[in-house]
Amino acid sequence: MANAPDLLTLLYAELRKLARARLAAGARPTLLDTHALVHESYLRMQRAGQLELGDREHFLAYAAATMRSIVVDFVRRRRAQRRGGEAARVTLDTEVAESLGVSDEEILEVHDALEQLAGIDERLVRIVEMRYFAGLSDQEVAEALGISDRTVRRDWERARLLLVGMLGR
Amino acid sequence: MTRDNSFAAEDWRRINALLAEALELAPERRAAWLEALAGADHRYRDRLAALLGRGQSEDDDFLRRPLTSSPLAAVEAELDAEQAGRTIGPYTLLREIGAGGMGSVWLAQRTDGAILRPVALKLPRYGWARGIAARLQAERDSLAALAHPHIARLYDAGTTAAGRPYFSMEYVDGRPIDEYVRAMRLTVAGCIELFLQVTSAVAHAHARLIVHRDLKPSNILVTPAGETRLLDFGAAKLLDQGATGPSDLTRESGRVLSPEYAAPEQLRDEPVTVAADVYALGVVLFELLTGTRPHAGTRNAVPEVVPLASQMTADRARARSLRGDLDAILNRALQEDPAARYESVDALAEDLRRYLAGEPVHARRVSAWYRTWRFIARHWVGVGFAALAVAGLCIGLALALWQARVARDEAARASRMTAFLTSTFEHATPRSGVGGPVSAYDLLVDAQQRIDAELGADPALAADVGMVVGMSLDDLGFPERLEPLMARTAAYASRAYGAADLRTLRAELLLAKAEKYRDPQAALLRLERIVPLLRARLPASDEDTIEGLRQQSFTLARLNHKDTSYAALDEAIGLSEQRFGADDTRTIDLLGLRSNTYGRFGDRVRQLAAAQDTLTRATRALGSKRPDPTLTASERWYAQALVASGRPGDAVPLLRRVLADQQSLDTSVTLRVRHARYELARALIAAGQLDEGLPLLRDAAALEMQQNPAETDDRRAFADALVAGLLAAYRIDEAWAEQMRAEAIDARVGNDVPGHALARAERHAWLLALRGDPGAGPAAAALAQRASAVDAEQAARADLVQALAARLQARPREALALIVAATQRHPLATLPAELAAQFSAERGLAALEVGDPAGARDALRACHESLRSAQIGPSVIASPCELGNARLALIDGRAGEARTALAALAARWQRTNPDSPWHGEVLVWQARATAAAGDTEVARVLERRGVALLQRSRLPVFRALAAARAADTGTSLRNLRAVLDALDPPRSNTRPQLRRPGSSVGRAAD
Repeated sequence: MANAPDLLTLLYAELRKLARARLAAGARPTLLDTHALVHESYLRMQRAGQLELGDREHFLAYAAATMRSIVVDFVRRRRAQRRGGEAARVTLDTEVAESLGVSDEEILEVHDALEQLAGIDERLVRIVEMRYFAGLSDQEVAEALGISDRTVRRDWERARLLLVGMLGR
Repeated sequence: MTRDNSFAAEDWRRINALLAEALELAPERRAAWLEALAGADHRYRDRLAALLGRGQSEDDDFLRRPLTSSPLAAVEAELDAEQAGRTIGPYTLLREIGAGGMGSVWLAQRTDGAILRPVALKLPRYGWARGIAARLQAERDSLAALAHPHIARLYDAGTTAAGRPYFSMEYVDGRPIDEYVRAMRLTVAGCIELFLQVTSAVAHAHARLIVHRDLKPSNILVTPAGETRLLDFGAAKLLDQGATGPSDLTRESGRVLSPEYAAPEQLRDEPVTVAADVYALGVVLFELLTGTRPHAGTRNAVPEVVPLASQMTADRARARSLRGDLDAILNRALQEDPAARYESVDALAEDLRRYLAGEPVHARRVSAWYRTWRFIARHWVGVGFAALAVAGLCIGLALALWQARVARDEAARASRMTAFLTSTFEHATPRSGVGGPVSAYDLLVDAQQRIDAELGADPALAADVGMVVGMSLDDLGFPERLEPLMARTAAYASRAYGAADLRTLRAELLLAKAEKYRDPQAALLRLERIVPLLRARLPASDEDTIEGLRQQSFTLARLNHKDTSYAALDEAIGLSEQRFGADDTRTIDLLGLRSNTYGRFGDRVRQLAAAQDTLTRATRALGSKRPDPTLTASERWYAQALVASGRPGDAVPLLRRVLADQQSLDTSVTLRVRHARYELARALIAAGQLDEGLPLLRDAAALEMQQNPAETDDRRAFADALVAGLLAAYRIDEAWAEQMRAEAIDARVGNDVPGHALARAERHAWLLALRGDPGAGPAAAALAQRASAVDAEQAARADLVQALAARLQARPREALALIVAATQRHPLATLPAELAAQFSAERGLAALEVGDPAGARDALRACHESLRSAQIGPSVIASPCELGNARLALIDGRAGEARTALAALAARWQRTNPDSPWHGEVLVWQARATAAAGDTEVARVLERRGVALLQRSRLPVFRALAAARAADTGTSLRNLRAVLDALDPPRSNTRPQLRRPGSSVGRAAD
């Protein structure tokens, strides 16, 4: 298997590139279709010969972790922009659109909570990353971690509840 | 619940473990378990209870869904806003007119009342991805511009403040097409006619690069007036999430909206092309005609075999009418492999129209590979490379077609192919020779050279690219380039696919086609091996088998095997008529070849008849589509047949049109344009229009030398035609130079076409005669001997040359005897008109020289008739005949008539070949007629000029005429002496006889 940290670096670069390209196409800083991004970057890297067979599962896990950092990056930057007086340029549409669904605050909180969770149950963090940040299915998560999808579902529920507890939701 | 910071990390660790335990239990057991918590765990009980309770709750949506693509709580709320009176964007909802799992459709009106017309407002339930607004913006313009009578106009597409997409479209009052067809109980023909409205709409969109992707009956409405309207063009694409990616393997199709109508490649999430719409249309038509869909039930695994419509129909009468043609058409539209389907919606519509018209339908299993590459080759390297944009589009199309057939994991190879082909545009270096900065030729040559270098490691790819490049070179007509390329391509194909694979056979076929110019024997051997293999694969290999037979016929003709050549061609024609129809372009093409082959073997009568038949068929099939390559070719063949039958005058206007049409079809100078020029020039010369024809032929010959460096038959034909043309204009020195050049080529390259060798020898002898070479007579005699066994016409020509040589050597009696004998051997009626004219002219002139005006009169009258039927117009070709007639007129005492005729003739000479001694001859006689008419001053001037020209000639007959004339006008002794000195004793067989001034008309000594 390729060296894990190197892969991560590569992957991060790859995903950032893709994400930037996506944003360039659109007009506003919006959240990304992470699932497609992950798959696409996987395929790119495979074609470029940067992955070996069997890396896919590991890849997905790493991709998810990377997605998390990318998303958090974006969210932080966006908040900074808004605070920095760019708020005026944000149209009504954007604000309302983005207030739908998951808020920036929530994302950052989840992120922080996951940091805490990492010291408690590493696997749960992976599962949250893969399901929530990368949008992978139960099946995909199961394959990636080498467990049954029933386990994934159970673990996911547990993770969720723990985060609920930690965040006081 | 507020954030609880009272728990530390190890607390959460414990909670985690406990939760794990609790979640293992069935929900109803958990309460007990909580109770049982003991010791340190006890303090977590409340929290655990709360969390577990939360987990049970249905309302809890925290972290339930991933960050992407899901309808969120607030969005759900937005949906509730779908009520009459609410606004969506700039529209106010009036009433709901349709709803389904995908979303709902409302009748709406603009809120601001700016436009009163109500619209249909489509509100999809999904597709709320972020960034949808941006995508809508980008795509909306191209979709809104889609205007067609059978497409429901898209007026606007946008998003609400909440980011919810909507589409406003033309409101169509109609029913889905399947309902309509059922309710109106339409017949098969009625269904198809209605369906053709749909195909016209889809084709219109495809022409603007918009694929529908979601064609189904509910998207095809029919108004009460019986007009169809297509809905939702491109909507599927617009709402696609994540489809903005640059990767060519990103899911372009997105979620499949209607699996029953989706093409197999759509279900597999592969790239979608127009072929997917063809498929969907196939399913719709299937349903309209049979009442069921081809694949009833789920379509997770698409079966290999497409069911026949006639077998799926319950109604027996309907099944009967579907059997055969419609089965075939539907089958073709529903092929698993996109490249095996109709290549466009237009093609499908065309076949349906043929069905309705009772014409043979083209739906059949044509080999996809060949068809694909033929299509690419035809459109990629267009003739005349104007815009790279066009090329880029075709590359894209080629890639789409390629990708559609190729499995996903070969897409990388497809990218390489595209990259390679694209790079040929960018990196080709211009070469000199073919017009334009970077021509198609340059690009192809470049591509050809790079195949080995860059693709050699992948024989399949090298073979495929080689085929594309090869077919283009073939199309443009560069056989000498083609041969080495195809040799390598065939080798690659053999390595990649095997020696007996159809692809390898095709490459070899193209190789044989190119090879036959240089080495017909080798080409023939190859063809004899390939054609049976191709025949064994009928009907899939029909196009190839026909092409193979055609090449075989061609090659056999080159090698002079008449009967086998005819036989191969007849077989090809039979096959073509059977498979494609009697009026099909391909059949017409073969018929043209047949008429040419007859011509090649001298079978003039059959040639003309065959060419006429071909032209009739072509005009019938294609007359309205001018300019059309096959129609133009048919006209050319007919014109060639006319020229061969001695009717060049009829051929000329036809050939002018052929050249014009060919030039507008091919924007650069291709083989066909070069040939069209050549044919026109030859016909012009044959019809005596030398002033136009000769320069045209010169240019055409020069261009041919330049473009076709290999010594092929074409080039030889040009050279021959040039010699003949120059001879016709009596430009003897030039003709001699060309002849020598042509003979040098023959010596170098070899010429094993027997008929041709004879013709060349005859021209050689002719030139000798005209140059006054005493070897002319013997050469002609020998030639006549050789030819008499093989070719009667050639023998007659040889006899003619003999007679001409004798006359020019100032031996008219011998000449007369020879021509009389020749006429007995070859009766004039058996000769082509232009040859008969020459015979008669020679006879007439010889008779005049020996002092037999009566004999001359008959001959010259016959000559005049022959010239007319040979359609030879007034030109220097007709000079001998006209001169003879004018001399007769002079003898008869009609000096004025003679003078006028000779003046006109002299003017022609002045224009065509002013320095020729033949011109001098005419001038001298004109002088005599002018003198006889009483105008001695002018006569003297004319004579001086004429004599000056005559004296340049080495020909005894001219020298004698010059001398005699000078003596006849009564010049002084001084002049006589000058004249005597000027004569060239060693060369001529005649001894000049001094005559006393004033004696009768100088007669050259016998």
